[in-house]
Amino acid sequence: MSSAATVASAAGPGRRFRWNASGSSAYWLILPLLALEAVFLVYAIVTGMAASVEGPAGGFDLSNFSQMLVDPDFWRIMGRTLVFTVLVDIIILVAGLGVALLMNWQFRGRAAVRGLLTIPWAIPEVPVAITFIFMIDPTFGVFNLLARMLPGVTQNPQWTLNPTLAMAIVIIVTVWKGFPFYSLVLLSALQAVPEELYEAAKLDGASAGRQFLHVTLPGIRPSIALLAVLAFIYSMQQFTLIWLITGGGPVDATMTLAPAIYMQAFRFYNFNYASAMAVVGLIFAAMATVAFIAVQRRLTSETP
Amino acid sequence: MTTKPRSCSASPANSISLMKPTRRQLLAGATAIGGGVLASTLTGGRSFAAGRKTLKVMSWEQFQPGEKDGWNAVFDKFNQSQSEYEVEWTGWPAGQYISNVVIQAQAGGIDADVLMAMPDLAAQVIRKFKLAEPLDPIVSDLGITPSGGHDFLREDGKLYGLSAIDVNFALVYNKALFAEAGVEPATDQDGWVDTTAKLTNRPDQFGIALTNNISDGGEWWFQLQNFCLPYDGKWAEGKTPLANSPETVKGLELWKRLYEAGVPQGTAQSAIMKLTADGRVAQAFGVNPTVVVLRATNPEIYPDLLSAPPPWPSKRSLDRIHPLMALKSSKHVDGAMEFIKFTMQPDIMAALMEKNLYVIPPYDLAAKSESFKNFLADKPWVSGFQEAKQVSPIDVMGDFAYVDDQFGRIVMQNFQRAMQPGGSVKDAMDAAQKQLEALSAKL
Repeated sequence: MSSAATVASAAGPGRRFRWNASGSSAYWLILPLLALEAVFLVYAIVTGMAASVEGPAGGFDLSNFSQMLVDPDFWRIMGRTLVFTVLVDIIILVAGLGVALLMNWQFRGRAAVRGLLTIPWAIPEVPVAITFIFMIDPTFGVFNLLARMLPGVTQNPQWTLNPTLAMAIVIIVTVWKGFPFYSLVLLSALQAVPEELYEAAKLDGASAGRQFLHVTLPGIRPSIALLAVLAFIYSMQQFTLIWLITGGGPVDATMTLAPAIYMQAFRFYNFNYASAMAVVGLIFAAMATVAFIAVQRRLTSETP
Repeated sequence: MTTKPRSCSASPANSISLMKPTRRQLLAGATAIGGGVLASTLTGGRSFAAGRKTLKVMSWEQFQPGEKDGWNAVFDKFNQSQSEYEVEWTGWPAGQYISNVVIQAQAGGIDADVLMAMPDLAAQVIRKFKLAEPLDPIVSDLGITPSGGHDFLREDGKLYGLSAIDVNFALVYNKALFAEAGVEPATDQDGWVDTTAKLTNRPDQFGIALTNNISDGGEWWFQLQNFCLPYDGKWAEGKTPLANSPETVKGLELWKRLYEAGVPQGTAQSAIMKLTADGRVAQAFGVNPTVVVLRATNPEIYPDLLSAPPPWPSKRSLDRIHPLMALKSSKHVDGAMEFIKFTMQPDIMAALMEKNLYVIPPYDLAAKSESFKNFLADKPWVSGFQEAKQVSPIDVMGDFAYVDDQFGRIVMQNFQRAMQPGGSVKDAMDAAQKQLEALSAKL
């Protein structure tokens, strides 16, 4: 066996595995993972791309893309996807950071509260959707009670019949479902900010707000940038919650890219057109990810 | 690094270790046992002697909790009745069924001998893919006259499918709530709205259950599709959509009046069904299995359920025949025909219908089976369904029958504008018409 990846024999009770995975052995070790990725990811993407350039009669044909580019519905879907994605991205990070800051305080029962906070993230999306469907029921839902507390609201809102409310609902549910993950990661980042920096800031007379702006935020900036990428991908590929809660309606107001691809492929049987839409979605997601990573690198290099 | 060879010495300790299976042996054994258990579960004890030809019936019924037992009994009887074929299930649950069958058909053939299909899929298999075998010999051999709803299964005078399951729409109502309100089931459109309003006392009681949520799009379109019929309209004629025709618009305006008069607005379909089962909804415009579902949810409500024909003069409602078809591409077309003929025999069909609570037979079964006649007599809620005049979805959808889902989606999405306060049905359907004309160009 190569010395590059040496596993020390466990001859004595006090001995531990020593791992040195440098050199060519490391590539051998990741080979199974690469093989899996090749079969389940690369192959699927290539097959999807091939389908996107296949015409109705077979053979190479770019008509799916040309049709898509002049289809106003497609651009409306992309616009909605952008609105949904950006809003979810911002709100989920703000909510996640807010909760992480609260959880970073010392108080009795903090561990239990942290555990409770992970519940939305742990519950599968289908029961979440079903629960919210009942909560937003215009006749029986609990959301009506909350809405009726607002000034000027005298009737129960038609949550899934009003385009703005429907978009708001799917954003709220998506954020509610996803924010615990972001909170936990940000909490870890907050706890990694050296305490000495806060002490120094206090000695300099910095207020709590200034400490947050000049110590906390710079300290967790790389994590925020990474989470922004993840939130972007999470929201862009959101299908289950949107599909189950609003079905993309009303009047297509919540029809984002993922449900639209599903509709084209599995409801209307336009598999090639759906593949073309998926390819465009993949390109947008890849571009956004590259942009975020570039920003993250810049921020990381600027971090003191 | 050296590897120590395995010792084969027979010391007592080693003997014990030799008797222990290795992890690999254990996994292999478990796999074998698991495979055996799985195989016996899947065959369900219905395994017959080798050498029989396998007949594959493609369906979703094997996944339907309340129906698979009835169908399994038909399979068993067929397998026992002859020694040449053994019939087996293949297919997917209903939600994935059409897309999977269409994919196979588009790829050149359906991997089965007998196909059970939803109406729109059946029309595609017959007219678009031309994969079905005529079943007229079965009809003449058995001396049966298929019900009027079978017309959409005919092409060039030949019949390509025989109903395995038939569901049609009528008004299911709770006679106790009607008696309490002192009203009778409506017989015309305006009377229907008035009755619904009288039966409504929100949020304790609702006059009518109508699916109205786009997230329940499949069920909504299933029901809404009927609303071209109250004023004798159609959704399309050939490739010409008729979504904004006066008849269709009036039909949808009727739906909207009912929605405003007494529907649980914005409520999920599952919750509406629960409200109905709890005796808080007075009537539902639904198919005959609705009664079965309500009985399963709340057996106490069952004695109060009755049905009335659709409350408009023509009494026409959509009738969804799910036919059995013999596939041309089958290697055992004779076997496929034999199975369908066997299933259509009066005693076999009667037993299936009684077991699965199907009430709309493929032909005049009550005249041929005393047991089925008694079965129907025991079900007073059936009369409204029987009085309804059968219309196939294909008859009202024209060439759009092949893109039924897409058509429905366009109608529902636009119709939602009309459901908002002050919304105009005509304006909404004008918008839908434009989109449907664009869809027509792609047909």
